Amino acid sequence: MREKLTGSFDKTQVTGEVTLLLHNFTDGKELTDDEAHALTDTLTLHQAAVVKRRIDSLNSTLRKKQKQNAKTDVRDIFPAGPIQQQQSPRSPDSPLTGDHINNGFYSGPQRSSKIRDKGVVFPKKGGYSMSGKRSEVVQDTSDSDNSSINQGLTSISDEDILCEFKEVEDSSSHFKDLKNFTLVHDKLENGLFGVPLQSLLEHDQRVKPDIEVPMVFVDIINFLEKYCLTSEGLLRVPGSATRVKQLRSELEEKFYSGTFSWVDVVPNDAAALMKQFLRELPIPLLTHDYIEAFAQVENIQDKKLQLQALNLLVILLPDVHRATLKLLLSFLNKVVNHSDINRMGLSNIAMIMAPNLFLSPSNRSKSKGIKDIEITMAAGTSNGDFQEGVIRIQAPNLTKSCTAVQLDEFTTAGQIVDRFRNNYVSETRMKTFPSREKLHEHSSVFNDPAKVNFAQENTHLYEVGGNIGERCLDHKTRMMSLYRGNKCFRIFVYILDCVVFMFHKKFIHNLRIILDLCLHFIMKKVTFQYEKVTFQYEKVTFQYEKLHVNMKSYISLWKSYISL
Amino acid sequence: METRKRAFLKVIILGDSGVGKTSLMNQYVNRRFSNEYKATIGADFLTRDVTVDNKLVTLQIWDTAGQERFASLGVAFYRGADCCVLVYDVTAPNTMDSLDAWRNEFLEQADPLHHDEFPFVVIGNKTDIQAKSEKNSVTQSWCSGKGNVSYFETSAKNGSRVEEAFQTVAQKALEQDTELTKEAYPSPIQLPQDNNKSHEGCSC
Repeated sequence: MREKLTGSFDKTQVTGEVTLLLHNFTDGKELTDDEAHALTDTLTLHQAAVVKRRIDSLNSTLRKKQKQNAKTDVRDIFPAGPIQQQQSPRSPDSPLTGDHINNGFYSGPQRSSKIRDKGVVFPKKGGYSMSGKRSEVVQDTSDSDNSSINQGLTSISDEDILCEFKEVEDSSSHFKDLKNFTLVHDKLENGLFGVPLQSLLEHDQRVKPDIEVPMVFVDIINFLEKYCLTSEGLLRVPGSATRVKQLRSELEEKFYSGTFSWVDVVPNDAAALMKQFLRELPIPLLTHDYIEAFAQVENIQDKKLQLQALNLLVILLPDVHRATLKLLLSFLNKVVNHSDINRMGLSNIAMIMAPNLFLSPSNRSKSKGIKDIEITMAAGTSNGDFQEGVIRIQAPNLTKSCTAVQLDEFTTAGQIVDRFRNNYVSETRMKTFPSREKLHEHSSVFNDPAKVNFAQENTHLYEVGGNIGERCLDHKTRMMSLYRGNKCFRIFVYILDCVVFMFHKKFIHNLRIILDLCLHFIMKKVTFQYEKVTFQYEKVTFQYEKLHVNMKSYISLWKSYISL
Repeated sequence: METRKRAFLKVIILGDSGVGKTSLMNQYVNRRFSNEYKATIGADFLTRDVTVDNKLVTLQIWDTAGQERFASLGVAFYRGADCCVLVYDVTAPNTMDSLDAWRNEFLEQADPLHHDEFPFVVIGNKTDIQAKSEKNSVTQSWCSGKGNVSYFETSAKNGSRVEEAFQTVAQKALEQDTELTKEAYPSPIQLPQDNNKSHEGCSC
C-alpha cells in the first residue's frame, strides 16, 4: 500500500537519521506503512517511548497548524493503527513552507552537517532534494521506487541509531537543537508575536500552571483596562509606528525576564500592539477551522439559532482560544461601556476589530480578494447604525469602497447606475478603455453618445447576498421596495457572560461547503467537547445542553441551506 | 467641447485615523460638523463645485480610511488624483510624523507624472482644541522641503480656514490638471501598429 504524504512526517526526530529522513518527508516524499514500521522496529522500548512523547506534543501543535488545510483529514485516509500517530498532514500552502522547514532544520547546523557527512541514511543520497520543491518531488518518486527508501532505512544498523541517539540525549545543546526543529518552539525562544497561543500558553504554564490565557496578552489587556479605557479613540487612533516598534521589541526582549515596565506606555501604542498580536497569530483567534463558520453565523435568519450556532462555535474553540477571546471581548465590552468618554461605541469597535479577528488563512499573501473580504466584513459591522432607507452600493471595478445611497420611494436601479456613471466619469473611462486612455484622464470620452449608451446599457445594479447569490436588477426596479423586502443590514449581537460580540455581515458565497463543514464539525465534536465545557463554564454548559436538544433544528436548518 | 471647460478635479484626503479627514470633507462640502466619532471604511467621496480663476470646476473629494488595516485598500483610487491633501491632528504630534509615510504611499501608488512637482496640501486640523500646532515650525519646514506643498491649520469643527485650504486645493488641482492636459493633448498617442493589429484581429 502506497500512501501519499502530503505533508511532513515530523515525529521521529529523536534520532538523527530519522531526522534526516523526516526532512525528506517534509519535502513531500512518499512513505509506505512498512517503512514506518521499519523506523520504530529498530528502536528499543525506551527509545520508542521517547519518540512517542515527542510525537504526542508535536502532533498536537502541528495538527492545529495544519487544520486549515485539512479538507481531507488524514485520519479519514489512514486507517487507525500504530502508524497513524506518526503521520500528520501538511499541505503545501500551510504556513510551514519548504523554505521555512529548511531554515528551521538548519538552525541546528552542527547536527545536520554531521548527519550529512555520515551519509548512511540514503545510499542514493543525491536523489533526495532538500529544497522542498514540488517538481523535484515528482521527479524523485517517478525515477526511484519507494522500496529504495525502504532499503535505505532498514540498512541503518542499530548501532548507528544508538550512537546518534546517545549524542542527542547526552548533549543538552543537541537536545535544544531538536526542540528548535519545530518552528513553533524555535519562534517561542525568540518571541511573543507570531507564536501560536497554545505554544505561548504551554510556555507560561511552566511558570503558572493554572493560567488560561498567555501572560503577555493578559498583561497588555490589563494595562489597557487599567489605564486606557478613557483614552479617546482607543483602538482607532494609531500609535506612533516607531514607538510601537520599539515597544514591541522591548516586550519581546524583556517580558519573560520580568523587566518590562508598562510605565509611560502610551495607550494608543499598547492598543496597536494588542491588535498586532492578534493579527500575527499563526492560528487566528477564531481558528482556521471555525473562522468561516463564525463569519457565516450572521446569515442564519433565526436569531435564536444564530445565538446557538455562535455558542456552539465558542464551545468548539480550543480552550486557550476561547479563554483569550473571552478576555478580549470582556475588554472590548469595557471599552464600549466607557464610550461616552473614549467615543468608541459598539459599531466603531466592531468595525475596527473585525479585520483583526477575521483574517483569512492566506491573509499574509496580501491578495486582493482577501482585502475585499476584509472590507466587506468591516463594512458589515458598521451597517448597524445606518438610517432607514440607506443602502450601500459597491462598484468593484471602480473602487474598493462602498457608497451610501439614500433611497426614496421612486428611486430605481437605473437611477443609481446613472449616479455612478456620472460620478465616476474618469474611472468609468479607465474601465472602458483600460490602458490607452490613461494619459487622457480628463478627455471626455462620454461626449460620444454611442459610448454613453453603451455604458448605460451595459451597466447594471446587482443585488448580492442573502440566499440569492447575486441577481441583476432591471433598471426599472424600485429600490425601496426591494430594500424593504430584503434588508440585508443585519447586525448580530451576542452575549456571553455579558460580553458583547458583534459580527459582520458577509456574502453567502461558499455557504454550501462551509455549512457542510460546520455540520461535520458539529456531528463530530460536540460530544467530544462536552466535558471540558462543563468543567469551565457553567453558563455555557447550560446552553450546550439546550443545544443538544435543538440539534435537530440545527441540522434541518443546515440541510435547508445545503439544498439551496 | 463644452465639457472640457468645466474641469473635473479629483482630490484625495489622506492621514492617520482620527485626525478629522471625514469631518474636514463634510465641513467643506456640507458646511456641517457632526460630533459622531466613527471610523471610515474604504473610501467615500463628495463633490462640490467651486470657482477658481473665474472657472467653475467640480471638486471630487475622496475621503479615505486612516485605519492601518484599511489604509492599503485606498490605493486603488489614488490614481488620477489632481491634488492630495495630507491631514494631521495638531493635538497629536505623532500624526504629523506620519505625513512622510502617507506622502510616499501616495506617490508610490498614484504614480503621478512628476513626483516632485505633484501638489500636496498639508492641513493641521483641530485648531479649536489647540490654537496653534506645536509642530507648526516643523511642518512648515517639512512642507518647504517637499516642493509644491502648502500648509494650513484648520478646524473642521468651527470651520476655521477650511474654505481657504480647499480653495488652495482646488487651485493647485486645476494647475495640475491644466498641466497634464497640456502634456497630454499636443501629442496624442499614435498607435499605428496597434491599429493594424486590431484589424488583423477583427478579420478572423
